[in-house]
Amino acid sequence: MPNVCQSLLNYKRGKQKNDIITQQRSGDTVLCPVRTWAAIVQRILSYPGSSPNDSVNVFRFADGKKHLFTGPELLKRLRQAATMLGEEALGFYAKDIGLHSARSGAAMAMYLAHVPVFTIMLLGRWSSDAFLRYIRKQVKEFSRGSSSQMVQQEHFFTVPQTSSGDPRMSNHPLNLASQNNHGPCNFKGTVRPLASVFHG
Amino acid sequence: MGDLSAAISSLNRAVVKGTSEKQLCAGRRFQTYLQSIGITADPYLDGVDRGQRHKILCAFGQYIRESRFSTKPTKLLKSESVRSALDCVAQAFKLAVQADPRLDANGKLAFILQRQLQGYRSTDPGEKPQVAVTGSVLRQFYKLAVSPFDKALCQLLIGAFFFAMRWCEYVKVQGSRKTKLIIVRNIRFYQGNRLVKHSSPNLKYAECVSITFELQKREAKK
Repeated sequence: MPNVCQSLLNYKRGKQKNDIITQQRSGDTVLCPVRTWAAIVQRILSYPGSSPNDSVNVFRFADGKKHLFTGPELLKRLRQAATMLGEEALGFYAKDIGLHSARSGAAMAMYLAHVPVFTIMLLGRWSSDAFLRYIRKQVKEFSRGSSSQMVQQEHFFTVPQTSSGDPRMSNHPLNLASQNNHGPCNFKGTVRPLASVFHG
Repeated sequence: MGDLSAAISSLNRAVVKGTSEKQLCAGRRFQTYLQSIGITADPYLDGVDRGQRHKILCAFGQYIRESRFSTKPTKLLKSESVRSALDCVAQAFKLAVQADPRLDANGKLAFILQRQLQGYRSTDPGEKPQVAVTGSVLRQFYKLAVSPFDKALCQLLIGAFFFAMRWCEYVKVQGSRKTKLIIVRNIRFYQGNRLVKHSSPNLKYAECVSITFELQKREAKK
């Protein structure tokens, strides 16, 4: 599991500024954040006239023509890849993939890898439990191990409520140390008259 | 006077162009609707009481729901769209230093509006969430990518996947957004605690990659 470091430099209501997310090498030759981003950065900076202020979706054709990648271009190819794998292997049709599928897939991948929920939230920059919308509980692997874990502790003992007859308990009518016995009655439960404690 | 101009200028910078346009559009639709029901000289409904104001908003909600503002009203709009239109109208009122017309005497959304929106929600079709893309799909994408164009596109998606990026953070989108596209200088590589320069031939052997998201939307709690 990769180590993840998050730093929130500035946080304001409605927006977050300068949120820094770090990912370590995955060790995979294809699916590795370091290798991938290194390739992207070096490709962009190899273009003539490029600068560190260029956006990451810049591409230059062999004739030098500049192009900015768009969502539909990406989606078309992603769906082609899903079509090649087939609905039987994936359990969904290629047309069900949208541009949010990558974000959802990231949340799902972390969840299935048992990455702690707060880490998923920080890494995906979700400031609330909104990320749960991205977790697909219909995924077969979602509940892996849950049923076997549920039968591991077959029996559990419910600790009974404490008796109100013990004068050492807070709010007992005979407990003068309890502040709630003074002034206006603010007991939430039924209060028996003082004498009744001696008569069960 | 100068202070007021500066304040108005800041106020205009608070939201992106797209949001302002959406608010203006809803405001225009509301005015058109008021005219259609014979209210021509009272854009902020000063001449009607609170209850009537709520009823007018309910009727306007239905007008939006049936998309009657469109030249080709085809389908019912979802409750979220109606809610959003009402919110925009309320914002227009507030920007004109008028009271929020949706609220009741207790400062809550009027009960009839609440019920109306609830009714819409109950008849709206269920939301169909986008499926989660798997690592195997990304790997297949990589396998299929032969041209430099496709390879670059695939790298972008793989890179975005590891940071659970919103798509407007790494590809071009229409209209202006609060969330900014990642730029090259937002990406830094480290070997131990040492920054690795982008020009380094060992960049791909760095230990970790760090991305700074300069300004981003915060997803609302549902």
